[in-house]
This record gives sequence, C-alpha cells and structure tokens, in this order.
Amino acid sequence: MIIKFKDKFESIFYAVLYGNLTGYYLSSQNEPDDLFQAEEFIEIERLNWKEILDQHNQKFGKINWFKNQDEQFRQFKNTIELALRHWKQFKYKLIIETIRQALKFGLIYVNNKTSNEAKDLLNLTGQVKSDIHRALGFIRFIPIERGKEKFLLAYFEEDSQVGDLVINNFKNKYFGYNLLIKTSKTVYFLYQHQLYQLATNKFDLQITKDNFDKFWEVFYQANFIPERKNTKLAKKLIPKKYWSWLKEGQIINQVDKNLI
Amino acid sequence: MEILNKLKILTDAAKYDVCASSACSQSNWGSKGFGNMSRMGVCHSFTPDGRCISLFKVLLTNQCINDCLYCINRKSNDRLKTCFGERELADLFIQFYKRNYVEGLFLTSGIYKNSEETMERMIKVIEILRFEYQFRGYIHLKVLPGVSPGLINKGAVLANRMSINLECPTTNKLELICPEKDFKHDLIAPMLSMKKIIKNDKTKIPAGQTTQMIIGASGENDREIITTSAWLYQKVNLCRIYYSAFIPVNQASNLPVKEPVSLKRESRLYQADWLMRRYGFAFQELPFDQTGNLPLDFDPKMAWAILNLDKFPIEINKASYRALLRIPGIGEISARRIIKLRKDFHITSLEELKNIGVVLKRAVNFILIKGKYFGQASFNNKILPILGENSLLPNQNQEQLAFAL
Repeated sequence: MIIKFKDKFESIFYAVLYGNLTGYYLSSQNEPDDLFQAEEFIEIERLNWKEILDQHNQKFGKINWFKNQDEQFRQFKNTIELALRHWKQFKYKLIIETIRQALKFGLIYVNNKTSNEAKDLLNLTGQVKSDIHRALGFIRFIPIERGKEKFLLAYFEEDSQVGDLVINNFKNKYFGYNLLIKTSKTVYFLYQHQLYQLATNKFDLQITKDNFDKFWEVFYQANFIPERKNTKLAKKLIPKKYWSWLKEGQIINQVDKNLI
Repeated sequence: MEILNKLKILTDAAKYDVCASSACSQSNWGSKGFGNMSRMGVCHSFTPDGRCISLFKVLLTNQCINDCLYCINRKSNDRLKTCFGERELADLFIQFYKRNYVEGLFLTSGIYKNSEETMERMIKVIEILRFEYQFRGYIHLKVLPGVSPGLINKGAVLANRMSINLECPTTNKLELICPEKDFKHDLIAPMLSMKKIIKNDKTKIPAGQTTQMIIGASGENDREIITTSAWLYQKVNLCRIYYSAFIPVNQASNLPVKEPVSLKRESRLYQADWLMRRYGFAFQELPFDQTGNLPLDFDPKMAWAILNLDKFPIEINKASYRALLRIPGIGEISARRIIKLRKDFHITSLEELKNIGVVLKRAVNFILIKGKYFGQASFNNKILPILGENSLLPNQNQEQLAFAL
C-alpha cells in the first residue's frame, strides 16, 4: 500500500504520521509512479487527520512542537514549503526523513542542520532561495504602455518553481504596473493586483528586444576595473543558465579572452 | 555630448568608489509610490572583476577643482570632462530602475566650482526623483568635502544613506595625496554633522553613514587604518567602512606610492574590520607585524588565535557565544546554531559540527568536543616557529587613537 500526499506541508506531515502508524510507503502525487503502478494507494487527503494525530500521540507520545507552532515550527514549515519548490525529485525523500527526525529529536535538531539529511534539505532550500534572489536581480523588464495601462514584461528561466514568489516581490517595487514574467513552462501575470498562472504553450506572446540594452552595456563595461579582473569569480556569480538573456555573459567571455 | 557618452565617462569615473550596498530595512519615504527597499540588498549583475552591481553609480560631473594625486578626476588630468543635467540624470536612472537593472542610485560627483553649488545640484537630482517620480527606492548620496551642515541636513531628508570619503587615515597622510583637503574641517566635520542628524531624527539617513579609504596610496600601514576605523566606529557611529586597494591611474610624479596595492591586503583589512564590528574584537587585539601591517599569510582571526594559544582549546559544548566567535572556522551563523542546539543536545562529533557549518580544517586545532581533542597533537610545535618568523605583535599602540579624541 502506498500513501499519496500533496505537495503541501500538512499533507506530507500527516502522511509521515500515518506511515509511522501503518508502515506504508509514502509517495507524492507529483512523483512518477511507474514503479508502483500495480500497488494500491490511499490518498492522505481523504483520511481524518485529527484521528491520525490522536493515534500517533497515543502510540509515540505527544508532538509538542506541532501543538505549540512557535518560531521553530514556522521555520521548519517554511523550509519544507521552499524545498517542495525544488526541481529535484529526491526532495521528497529528504523531507520525509527530516520530518521523521523532527518527530524523534525535535525541531532544534533539524533546523540547525545537525543530521546529514537535515543539512541536505536546508541546502535544497538554500538553492531555492538563491533562485529567488537571483531572479530578483537578473530579471530584465521591458516596459510597454497600452492606453492608460503600464506593463513590464520579462523572460526568466526558472529551475525551481519560484515565479509566483518572484512576481510577488516585484509587486511593491513596481506599484502601478502590470507585470508579466514568462518562463519556458509557465507565464506569471500580475494584472490589476491579481496573479494569474498560465501554461507558456497556451500563451502567444513574444518578448521583443529592448533598445535600452545599449545603455546597460555601456554602463556595465564602464564599471569594469581591468586591474581587478577576475572572470572566474564573475562566471561563478552569473551562472551560464542566465546568459541567454544577460548580455554580461558575452562581455565576461570577451574580457576572458582579452578582447576588451 | 550625447547621453550615452556621458554615461560612459561618468560611470567610468565613479567606479573606484567600491560601496555597493543597497540594503535598507526602513524607508523614510513611505511605501506608496514607485520603487521599494530591500532588507538584504540585491545584486543585479557582477562585473568581470567579480564586484556586485546593485546601484546606478555615477558622477554628476567629473570636473573637479581639486587635484588629489590618486584621483582619476583630478583637475590636472587631461581627460574629457562632462556633466549630466539634473533632469537628464534623474530620467536616465528611472529608465535603469524600471528595467530592474539596478536597485537604487549612488550619486557622487567631482567638485564643480565649489562643494556647495555641486551639492545643491546633486540634491536637485534627488528632489526630482522623490517628488516628481515619487521614487521610494534606495538612494546613496555622497557628501562633498567641506559642505555646510544645512546642505547635509537637506540631503539627509532625501537619501537613505550618506557618506563622505576619508581616503586616508590621518591628517598627515591626507596632506600627502590631497593637499587641498583639510582632514578635520572638510571630512571629519561633515561626518559629525551626519552623526548628529541621525541621532536626533531616526527617519533621516536610515541606512546610516559610511566612508571609504584608499589603501596604500599615502604609504600608510594597516595599523593606522584600523586605528582610525576603530575610532570612526566608536565615535562617529559609522555603519561601515569600505577599503579600496590603490590602483595608480595617474602619472603624478609626487605620489608617495606608485605601485598597485595587493587585493589580499584589502581583503585582510575587511576581515579585521569585520572582527571589530561583528565579532567583538577590540582593535588593540588585532595582530600586526613589525611593519604595522596585518599578516598576509593568515587571516586576522587565525593570527589572533595563534598568538593566544593559551586560550585554546575551547569546549564547544560550554563556550559562550562570544568565545565561540573567537574560534577560527566558526562564524556568526554556526555560533548561533551551536548555542541553540546546546539547549537540548550535546554536540558529540566533528560531523555534526561540519553539518552545522563549522569549517573543520580551521577549527579542529582549537576545540574540544565533550572534552576530546581532535586536532594535531603537535599543532603548537608546528605553529610556533611560523609565529616567530612573522613576528606578529598584538596591537598595543594607542597613540594614534588619541589623534581624533
């Protein structure tokens, strides 16, 4: 029997409790289930969570941190919710194991990366945060106006699924603008303060070149101090996956070859 | 001159100012309008030298009445001089900001005619941004030497951060490379004005004031620099000091130093500065060699630990937060994690410490875990001869500190 959970903290948490009670295998509804096609499964969402918690409390003792829901709990929940956005499938294994460790040793143990699994999980979370942070820096908008409405359009390649968080971060910065961020899979569209997510293949919009590019190129090149040249560091800080729309990649390469 | 050329010239002339921070936790301009502030700061790009670009850093003009020997914009330099119009610069910045190329504005300038007039024009640029564009984002305004308290106060209302570059650690050194500037009147006095403004009204200059020193241009040593830095942190409440390794960009024959300064020296100064600001080190504790410089072979914390081997090894399960911070390989985050973890657990292994974030190869010779030592038994024998070769001395020279007091 397999317990299927949704990509939400509560769903995974109760699946882990139910797994502890029954010994069943856990799997996300988003995981490819070729290996277990023949197996029967049960959806955790259809079970009574209160009963699961009561049974777990009776058998293994009270989970105080879940009852208190303090700062440590919020940190842990946030870690897992961010990790769920990571593109690697092995996140589920780490999340499940870390919840088990939290049940056994407490939240301080896992929140401070004491075990290998907790460390790996927090590293995944770190990568998601880094994706968000880089998106906030590396996204380049093209402003357009249609009548009274102002739009900022951008293309971005997301590894982890962070587009909604990114566009929310831009909401206050570009107050009064409608924002559209297109990725290879999803279009995130913040229109009149409402966020819409659409599949990219169902959205026919080409983001054209911005002539302002040349100003950025001049500004960027003028900032370079040849005596401090360190292209290895620059390449590390702007990974190649961003070079398809960041002009800096080509310039760093030219500096590398002493062409600039 | 077309705007693209101006941008090129006035950016190129501003790039030696290394401050790139755009972090500001509170806005003095409310939240409604165009633009916002980030608590953490955002890097929008990195130059081929690896420095972060987060701010639209430009000069209003590269014309200057001063003839500072190290400066690319000195009046005797035969370079093309130009100037942005106030509105031209404000409009250009907004175009950069709207496209998310930058997180804010860093406005500096050469001194055209005099400091007051130039500063007025700089403030005009910011007024256009704040009042016409309703810009609520980050602005760092450079204060020009000798400017009056009235203008500083005007800027303090508009800017998030302000700074004036000290360039050298002492009066004597400044005279060598900036003969027209008066250390106390032109540089320290505006700093003290800003200190007073911040103290009296927390909404003004919310991201605090900073400064920059050019490292090695006047032949000063690290002890002089750090001594001045300590004084600036203690008495002027600077939130940060930037160090920029000297790069000879001029052919001035009377420059005291003509060679570029190593970036490693700059890095050591940042490390020492960090120890004072964040790790609770007093400047007297920092280790300098007989020439008054920080050792290049060891970072200052490691050098301090080597000089104070009698204080180690430290039991990880008992040491205070401050004591943990003194162990090489343990930073603020890992020290905090250790303290939190100890409430419920005992740390029992090197692996746990590694997972927490401790750099074991640096820490292992200085710690005990539940009374057990995992370092090299012969560590003292190996390290003491190196110590002898480097002639590290704890900093006992407080004479310089007295200069400003």
